Amino acid sequence: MIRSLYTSATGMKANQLFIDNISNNLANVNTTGYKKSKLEFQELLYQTIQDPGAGAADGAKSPAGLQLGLGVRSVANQKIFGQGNLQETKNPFDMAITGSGFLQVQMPSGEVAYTRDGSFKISNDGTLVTSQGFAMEPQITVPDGAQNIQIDATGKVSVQMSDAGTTEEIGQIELVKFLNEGGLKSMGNNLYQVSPASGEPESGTPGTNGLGTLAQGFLEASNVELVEEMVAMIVAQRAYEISAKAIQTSDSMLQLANQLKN
Amino acid sequence: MVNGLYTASRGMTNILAKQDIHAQNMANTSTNGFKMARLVNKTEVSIGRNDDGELRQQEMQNLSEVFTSFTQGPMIRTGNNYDLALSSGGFLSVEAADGSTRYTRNGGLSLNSYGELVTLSGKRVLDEAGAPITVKGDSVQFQQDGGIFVDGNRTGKLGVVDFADTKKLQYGQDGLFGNTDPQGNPPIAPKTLGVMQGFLEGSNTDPVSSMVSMITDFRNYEADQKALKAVDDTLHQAVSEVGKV
Repeated sequence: MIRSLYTSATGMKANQLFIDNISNNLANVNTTGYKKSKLEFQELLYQTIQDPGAGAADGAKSPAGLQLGLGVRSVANQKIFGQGNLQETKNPFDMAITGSGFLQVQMPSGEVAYTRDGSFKISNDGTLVTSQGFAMEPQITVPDGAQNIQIDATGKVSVQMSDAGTTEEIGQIELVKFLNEGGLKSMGNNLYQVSPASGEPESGTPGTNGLGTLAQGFLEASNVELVEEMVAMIVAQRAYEISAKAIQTSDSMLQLANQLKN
Repeated sequence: MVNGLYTASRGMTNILAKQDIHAQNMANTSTNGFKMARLVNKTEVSIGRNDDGELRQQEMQNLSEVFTSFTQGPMIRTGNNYDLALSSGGFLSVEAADGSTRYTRNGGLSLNSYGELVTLSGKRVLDEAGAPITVKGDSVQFQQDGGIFVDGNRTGKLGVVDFADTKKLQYGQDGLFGNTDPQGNPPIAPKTLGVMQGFLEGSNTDPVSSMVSMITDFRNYEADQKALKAVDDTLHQAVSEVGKV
């Protein structure tokens, strides 16, 4: 009896977590470079009361066993790195990655973090920085008097010098990829960190070695799909409800058992 | 008289176990690849003699087996390259923590840091020869027959197997099926193969039938309780009223 109460409670808890995950996806529907995460469930422990094939009292073999499952647990939420739509911003420091790969930024701690959010700005000393002020790695500095910044598909950054009228190459943007990008650890602020599950970063020039290319003046929108999330929300809500009904039923049964003795 | 008490209480205990199964099915309505279970009761009525040679009826109702229903769950489109659903019978082979081979219908997969194909709880998925599958490349494609293509080159085949008797499969603690009779019921090649990339198979829990059978079971429980109370009341009458002068 008590078993089914707890089993249903795990169902309610799991679906609550499901809603939490959907809420985060929905809240980030307009976040540049956001990647949706998908929650995955697995059955909890099984309690074996009788093995399949065990001998019954009359010597016959029972064809199936008696196993009672104890509910559900959430096992992982995986980032889904599908391409988001490209939105034109016409801002020369905005870049979107089409295809796989991540841009690298230098954290204040000295560590390198990875991002798909290519909305860069110019800091007061001329370096390309993220909205939080973290510098791009490898660092790119725009010299004084530079005009008309060009970032080509392979990450080459060039500027036109207003005084000399010449075009100068000032840097090369690199992208990195991972064996298992789904295993990257989300740090918030659109940044990811390498984890034991992701494998080591492999850097390269955009457009080579399976890496994507850069599109200047575009940003990558969130890859959350509203319809998909709404359907998931309906499923989660109804699944929550059905486990709640099972709890009510178990409770009524307990009540009946208690009424046996008055 | 007292027999009736035990019969009714047996019935109640059995229905509680059924409620455990309903709770499990309902808790797993969002678990991919989950297969719902059904408890089947066996009632035995036997007539025997007691020590004094008197003829007696012994009525017993035994908790019996849980049958797992292997019907197809709904196909949910996810578009992820590492989500696989089986539109046919069969199971994906997975390496358990103890090195043995276990089976699952949950094809929500991923790569680990070595580039090996793993389930989301980190268990390695096995190919048809029983070896782990390594994917090193930029694009991966799973064909309907289980063939794995990395960057356009065939690198192996998923170990999708089926069983002549799926009743001998048992859920393990890790949510994967184990084969309880590897000699008598060895894995065989499935009759048809339907590996679908970009899809997941949802839970096959049927909310309507689960709800209906939960209501039925609840009412049966109530009836058993009433029967038990009636027996109890009659006993009470017998004990306290009949002897009154």
